[in-house]
Amino acid sequence: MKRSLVATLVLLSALLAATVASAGTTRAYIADFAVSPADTANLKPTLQRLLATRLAGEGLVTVDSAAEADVIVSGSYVTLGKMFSLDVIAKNASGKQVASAFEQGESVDALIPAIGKLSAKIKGDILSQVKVQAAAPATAAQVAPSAEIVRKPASAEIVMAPAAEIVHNDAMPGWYSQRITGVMSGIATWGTKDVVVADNTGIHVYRPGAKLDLVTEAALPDRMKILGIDAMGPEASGRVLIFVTIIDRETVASRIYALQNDTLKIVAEEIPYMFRSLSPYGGPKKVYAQQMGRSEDFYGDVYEANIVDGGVKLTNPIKMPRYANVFNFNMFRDKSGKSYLTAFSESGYLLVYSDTGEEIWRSSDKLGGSETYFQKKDADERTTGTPFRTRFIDQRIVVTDKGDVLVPQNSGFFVLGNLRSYSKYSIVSFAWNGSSLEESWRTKQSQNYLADWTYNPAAKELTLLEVAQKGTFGGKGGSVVRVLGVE
Amino acid sequence: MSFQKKLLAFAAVSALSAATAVPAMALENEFHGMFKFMGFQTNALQGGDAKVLASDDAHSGFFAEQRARIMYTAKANDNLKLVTHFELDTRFGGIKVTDGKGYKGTYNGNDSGNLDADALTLETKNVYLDFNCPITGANFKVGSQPWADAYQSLFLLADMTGVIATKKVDNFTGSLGWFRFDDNTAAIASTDTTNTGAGQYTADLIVVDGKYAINKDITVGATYYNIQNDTALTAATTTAPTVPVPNYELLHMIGLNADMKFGDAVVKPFAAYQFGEKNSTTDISAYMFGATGKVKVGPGSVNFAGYYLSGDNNNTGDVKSFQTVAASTTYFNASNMWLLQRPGQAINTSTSLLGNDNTAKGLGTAGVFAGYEGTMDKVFYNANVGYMTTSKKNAAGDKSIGTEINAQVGYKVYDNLSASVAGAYAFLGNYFDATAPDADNPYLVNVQLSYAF
Repeated sequence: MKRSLVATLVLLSALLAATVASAGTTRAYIADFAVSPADTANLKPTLQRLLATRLAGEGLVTVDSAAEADVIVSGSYVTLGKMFSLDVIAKNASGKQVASAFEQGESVDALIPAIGKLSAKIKGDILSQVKVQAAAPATAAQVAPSAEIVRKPASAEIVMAPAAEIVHNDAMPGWYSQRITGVMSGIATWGTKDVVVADNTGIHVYRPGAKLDLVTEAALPDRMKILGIDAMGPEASGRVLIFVTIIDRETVASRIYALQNDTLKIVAEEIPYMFRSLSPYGGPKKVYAQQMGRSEDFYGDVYEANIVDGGVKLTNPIKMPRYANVFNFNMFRDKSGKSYLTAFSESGYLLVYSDTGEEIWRSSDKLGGSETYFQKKDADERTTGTPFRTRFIDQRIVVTDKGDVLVPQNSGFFVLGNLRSYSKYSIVSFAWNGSSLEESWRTKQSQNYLADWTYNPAAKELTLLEVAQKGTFGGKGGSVVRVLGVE
Repeated sequence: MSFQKKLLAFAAVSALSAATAVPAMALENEFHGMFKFMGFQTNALQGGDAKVLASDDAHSGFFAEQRARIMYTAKANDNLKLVTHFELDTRFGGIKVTDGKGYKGTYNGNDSGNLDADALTLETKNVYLDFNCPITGANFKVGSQPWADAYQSLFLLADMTGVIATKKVDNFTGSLGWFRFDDNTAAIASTDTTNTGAGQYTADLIVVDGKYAINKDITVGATYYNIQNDTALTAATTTAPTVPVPNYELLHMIGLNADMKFGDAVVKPFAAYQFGEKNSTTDISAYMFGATGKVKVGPGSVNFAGYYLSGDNNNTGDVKSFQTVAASTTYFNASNMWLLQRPGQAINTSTSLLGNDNTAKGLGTAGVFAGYEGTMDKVFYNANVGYMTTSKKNAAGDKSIGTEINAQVGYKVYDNLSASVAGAYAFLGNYFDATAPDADNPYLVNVQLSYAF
C-alpha cells in the first residue's frame, strides 16, 4: 500500500512538473533534413536527432509532429567538394520565417560542433521571436503547417523531373501492387499492363487490376537460378516471347517461353546464352545475347539475338569494352550523332566509353547495385574460405528516345564484400552534355531494394520491382510491383 | 580492456572513420572475410598439422576450432589497390603450451581459446599491391600474395613474397612471376668482417604461365616453373641453415593443362615433367599426370578426380620421385576427401593420412576419387569415395594406403551462412601394416558453421 502511494505521488509530481514546464515553453518540430549528394542520405535521421537534442531544454521542447508544433525547423546538409554547409530555417505555424542560421565546415569531423553552434544560434532567435509573437494579439486563425515547409527549395525543383509525382515529392507516388509473397529478382514487360516476374521458383505472369492477379506461371527445378528475365512482343499473333537467363550447376542453360492466350509454353531450353533486352539509342527494343566461357564469365562479343525456327541466331556483334557485358550496357548518341556506350564498372560507377572503346567519363557516385548473382566453384577455398566465387549481375541501363540515360541507384544499410543488402533506391536520369552525364532528375527515394525494373517508352512509365521484405530464416519475404509515370 | 582489445577497438574505429569519410576521399574501402567453426568427433585427428592417426586402440575425442579471416582492400581506383589479409585461429580451450601439435597461430599457447582469451592471434596472410600498368596494360601483384600452380596444387599452393605480372592479349593470357619463399642468410654478427648481406642463401621460384582460350569451352595452358634453391650451400660455413626447404637444389618443371567443356561435362586434364639436380651428384627425373571433372547427372553432378605422382623406392641413381616444395603447401581439393587427402574446407586442422605428403617420402602416390553433389533449394549434399596407393612399394612390399567413404549434408541459413554435418570413414590399406599392424580405421564426424562475405 505504501509503495503504491509513493508511486502515485511520484507520478503526480512528474505530471505536475511537466504541466508547469509546458506553460512557458515553445514546441518545435524538427523536420527531415534535405541532404545532398544522395549518398549522404543516411545522415538524415542523425542530423534530425542531433539538432533535436541540442535544441531541447530551457524553454523549448521538441514534438513528434508538425501539427502540435509552434515552430517547424527544417534544414539542409549540402557537401560540395570537401566543404559542407548546414542551413536551418524555422517557421511559425502560419508559415512565417522566424529564424535562420547556417554553419559550414571542411570535414565530417566538424559536423557535430557545427550542429552545436547552429542550434545555439537558432534557438535564441526562435525563443525571442515566438515570445514577441505571443505577446501580440492573434491576427489570424492557426493554420496547420503546410507541406511547403519541408519542400525542397524552388531552385531544386526546377531541375527535378517534369512529372508531377517527382516534382512534388509526394508520398508513395505511382501505382503499387499488393504484397507478393517471395523475394522476386527479375521483371519484364512488353507494352501492355501485364508483367512477368521471376524468383527462385520460376516465372509468374501477373495482370494488374485493382490488384495484381496471377495469370499463369512456370516452375523451374531447384537447381536452377534465374539471372534475368526479358520479354519481346507481342507479335501479330499476340504471342510474347519471354527470355529467361538461367544458370544450372555453373553453366548457362537459358529458356525461351512463349506466352499466348495466358498460357506459357517452352519454345527452347538449355540455350547457352545470357539474354538482355534493351533499346539502344532509345530505338526499337532488341534482344542481345552473350556466352559464358570457361576462362571468362562473359565471353566474347555481345550479339543481337533472333529466334529462327525455335533456335537462336546471332547477328551484328558488338565489342564490349572493359567492364561492359550483356547485362549492364546500353548505347546513346549525342546531338551530333556520335555514338557512346555506357556500362557499370565492377565497383558500381557509371561509365561512358567512346566509339573506340576508350573510357571518357565515370560517375562520382555509385549507381546500379544488385543482389542477383551466380556462383562458380572456382575460388581458391584456402584463401577465401569458400569454394564459390560470386559474380553479381548489374542493373539495366535504359536510354530513352530523347537520349537520356536512366539508371537505378540502390543504396542502403550495408554493402560489404559479397554480402549485399540494399534497402532503398531512386531512379536517376542523366543527360549527356558533350563531356559528361549530368543528372537531370531523380525519383523520390523508396525505402525498398529495387531488384529489377523496366521502362515503357510509349506510356513513359517505369515498372519497378521492389523487394519489400528480404527472405529471412523461416520467412519467404515479399515483393511489390510499382508503376510510376515519369513525364 | 586489454591492450590487444584496445588495439582492435582503435582499428575498428579508425576503419569506420575512414569509411564514413569516403565521400571526401578518393580511397574506397572494401572488406571481405570469413568465419568458420568446426567441431570434430574423431579417433584420428590431433587438432593441427600432425597427420591423421593410424594406431591401435585410437581413442575418440571431441574438439572444436574456429578461424576468422579479414581482408581489407584499399582501392584507389579500378587500376590500383592494396590488398591486406589477416587470419585469427583458435582451438576451443586453447592448445597446451609447448604441445608442438598446434598449427601456426594456435601453436605454443598462442591461442585465444585459453581461459580469459587474450592472446596474440592475429596472423598476416597477405599484403600486396595490385595494379594495372598504364603503359603495358599488364596487371602486377607485388608483395606477399597467394599463388597456386596449374596442377590442382599437387606441386605448390602457398602465400609467398614475390612479383607476378599478367597480361591478356585477346584470347591469350600470359604470366611471368618471381617468388622468394626462403632467405636463409644469417644476420651479420658484430664481429663478422665478411660483409655478407641478405639474399645470399635463398630459394626462388620462377613462373612462366600461358593460357589460350581456343573457344568459350576450351582453354589450354602451358607452364614452366623453376626453383633455384641455394639455401643449403652454406653447409660448410658457420652460418649454415638447419632446415633447407625444399630438399633439392635445382628443379625445372614443364607441364600442360586444359579446361574443357563437352556438353554437360567439364574435364581438366594435366601433366608435367620435372628434371633438375637433387645435389651435385644426383639428378631428378620425375613426372605427374591427372584429371578432374564434373558431369551433370540427375539433379546434381558427378565429380571425379585422379592423379599419379611418380615415385622411387631405389636409393641409388637418379631420383624419380615427384618433387614438391613442402608437404604443407600441397593440396588436391578435387578429391573431396576428409582423411585420405586434406579437405578443402579445412581450417586449423588441415591434414591427411600421409600428413599431406602426397609424395609418400619419395614413393609417390596415386589416387582415384568420385562423388555426387547437389542442392535442393537451401539444402546441399555430397557423398564421395576414394582410393589411394603409393606409386612404388614400401620397404615391406605394400602399396595400398586406403579407401575412404564420406558424406556431407548442409543448409544455407542465409546467402552467406551455411551449416553442415559430415562423416568420413577410411579403411586402412596394407601400407600401414609394417608400422601399425593393428591400427584402427580412422573416422571423423564434423559439424560446421561457415560464413563468408
